[in-house]
Amino acid sequence: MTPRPLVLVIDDEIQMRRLLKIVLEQAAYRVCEAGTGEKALLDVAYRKPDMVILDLGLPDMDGLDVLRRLREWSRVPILVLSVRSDEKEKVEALDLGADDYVTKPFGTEELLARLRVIRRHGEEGTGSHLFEDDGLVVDYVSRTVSINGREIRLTSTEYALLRLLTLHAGKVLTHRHMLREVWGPSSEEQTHYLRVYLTHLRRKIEKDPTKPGRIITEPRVGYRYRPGAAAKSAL
Amino acid sequence: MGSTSPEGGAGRADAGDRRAFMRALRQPGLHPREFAFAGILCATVTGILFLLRGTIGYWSVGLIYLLSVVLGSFYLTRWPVLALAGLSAFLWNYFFIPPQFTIRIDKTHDAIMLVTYFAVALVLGHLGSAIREREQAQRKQKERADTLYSLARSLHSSADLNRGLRDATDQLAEVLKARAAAHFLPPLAPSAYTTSDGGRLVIPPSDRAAAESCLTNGRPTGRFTSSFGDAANYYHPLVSKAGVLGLVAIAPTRGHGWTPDETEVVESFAAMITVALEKQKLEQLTRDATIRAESEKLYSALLDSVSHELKTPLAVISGTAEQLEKHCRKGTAQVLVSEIRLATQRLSRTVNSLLDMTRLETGRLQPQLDWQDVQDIVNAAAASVGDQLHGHPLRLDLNSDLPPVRVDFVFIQQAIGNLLSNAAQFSPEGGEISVGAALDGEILRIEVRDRGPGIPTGQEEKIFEKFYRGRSAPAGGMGLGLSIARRFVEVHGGSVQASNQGTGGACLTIRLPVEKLQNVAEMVG
Repeated sequence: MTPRPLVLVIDDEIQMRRLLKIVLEQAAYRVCEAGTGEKALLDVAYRKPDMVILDLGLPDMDGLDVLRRLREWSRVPILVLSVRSDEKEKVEALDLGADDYVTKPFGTEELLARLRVIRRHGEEGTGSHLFEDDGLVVDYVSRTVSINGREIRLTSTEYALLRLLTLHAGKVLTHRHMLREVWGPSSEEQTHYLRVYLTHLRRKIEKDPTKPGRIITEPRVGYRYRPGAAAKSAL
Repeated sequence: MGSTSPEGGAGRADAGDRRAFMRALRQPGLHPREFAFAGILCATVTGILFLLRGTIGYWSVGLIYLLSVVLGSFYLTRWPVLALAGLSAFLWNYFFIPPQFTIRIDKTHDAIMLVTYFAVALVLGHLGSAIREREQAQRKQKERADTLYSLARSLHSSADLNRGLRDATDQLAEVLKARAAAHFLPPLAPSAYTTSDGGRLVIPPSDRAAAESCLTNGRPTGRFTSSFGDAANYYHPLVSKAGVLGLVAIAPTRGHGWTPDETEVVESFAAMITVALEKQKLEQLTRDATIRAESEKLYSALLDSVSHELKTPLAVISGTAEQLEKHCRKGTAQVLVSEIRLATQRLSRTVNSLLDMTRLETGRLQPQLDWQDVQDIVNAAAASVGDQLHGHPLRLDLNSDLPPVRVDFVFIQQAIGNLLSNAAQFSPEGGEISVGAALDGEILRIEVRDRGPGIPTGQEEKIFEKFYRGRSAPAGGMGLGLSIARRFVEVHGGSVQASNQGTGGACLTIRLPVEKLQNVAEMVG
């Protein structure tokens, strides 16, 4: 039996830490806590948690700095917790290497779903060549896409976008990241490419393109592919 | 004879000399004295030479005359020197060159001597006076530079601009031997200024028109000028790029106008005051901006901390309630827990509304324009108000070929969300709410229609006021939703308007001027 994964909760609010501890322990995680950035950095080094939940508002140092310093040497999956509805900060956190974020107040199920996703991506070695979710099948080898067994034709750009989103299913991808991956580093600011191609992609893969269920817009941040199972538990 | 300008082609120097001469002519009482001096010098030299003529002969007389012309040129201006040269030539000829006491000359070499003498005397006289004039001009220039420098120093070295101005104005008055005062807009309130020597500079009522014309036209007026020349004082405007800042009033103590030098001093003085005033203005602006930035930073920090302090407990309450709900799946406990959750959600919305309103009111929320899909925004808005729709069916009626538009996703999403939750509040049980979007040229129109009672006539604007709540509004809510929606749209330069549909129910329309993506087809194709 594998040991229960250890989550380090970095938050200066003791109530928040207590709540998270209860939630996480019920979901079969072990929990350790840090109230300051300095302690957090030490804890990551010595207790080697499997995952980190990081509140960006810390008393002793900027949460983004904690993130930056962690990422200098550690690849531990990090979920950022932000009370501010400041999307710039979220994007910055993601660019600095955070794996995903949750905005307070959050639903606990949503938090757990995000944790599952980043943990899975953290462990992932060689993934399957097939992506299957709720009738959608993407075959990365033959570069084909089908819905409910019926093959659909995508342009190469649409396929590249779908491949990127499904490879990171459940995880938020920033505009910049997607533009860089699909169009190259020189197109990082061309967000209108994304709008146009995603509208077209949604028309092809969503059941009801006016109510997208698979590709979710994260305002000012990016997009997220929401797998069916995760979708149900997140709602 | 071309000897008045010894260096050929010195036309400019010549013109300058002429100006200097004209200037000299205008200085009264100077010339007759110089001519008289030239005459006396000439007479004295002639007298002495006449007495000595037996021993020195008449040739050396010419050289001594020449010496007197050269010496005279160091003290006299040009024309007296030239007169001295001419007179001495005549006297030499008349008294010394044989035949004496005639202007006739018998011997050729004597004639050549005289002519040569005259030419040399002219050239030397000219050179001497030119050197002298140059030296005088330099001295004057230095004096002027000194004056301007000390004016500038008074203006800029003093920490208090007003004091510096007063010192500088006093110096100006001293240079001009007049009384002077500087006056700055706003308009001419005081009619008299106390100069620092205790005297008073009065702007008489009869000068008002002159002073005002100076301020409006930005040209000198009053005494010694062509406009309002009969005024008591001279008025010089302080003209900056931004317009006339004020004027300098000068009460002259003499009858004739300013010399060109004085005019220059007045002009430079005015220019320096203007620069000093502008500098002060800029410093003030910089100071204000710094203070504003500081207070904004403070305000922002305060807002962030208030936001944090309100939202963190809310997050804890809602999270705890959620956990609690898992444990209480039936009975009163479950009802109680779900009440906590509902209340928390409502409180959460209220907090968000208040924070949004505060940020909007202080201009702290700036739209982040980016290319957005209208459909996406409407979907997100519908999703965000989800449970507030209370089961009202939502119909989306969006033009499928809407191109991406440049707006702030979150702002417009919240605006639409607020309109939707407003519609849900007023719609009867099961009444449909519809959202339509279309592009009219450069205007994106988004309409939210409900099946409610509509808007009472005359209240179409009132409903957007802060904290206004309609008479038929259900309990709860602060009356901020619509006014926040309107502000979110207004920061885009758009508008939100309310009207009643012909078929009943209200229609709230968002109009947004948008930049749309032109080459969609081309890009995707």
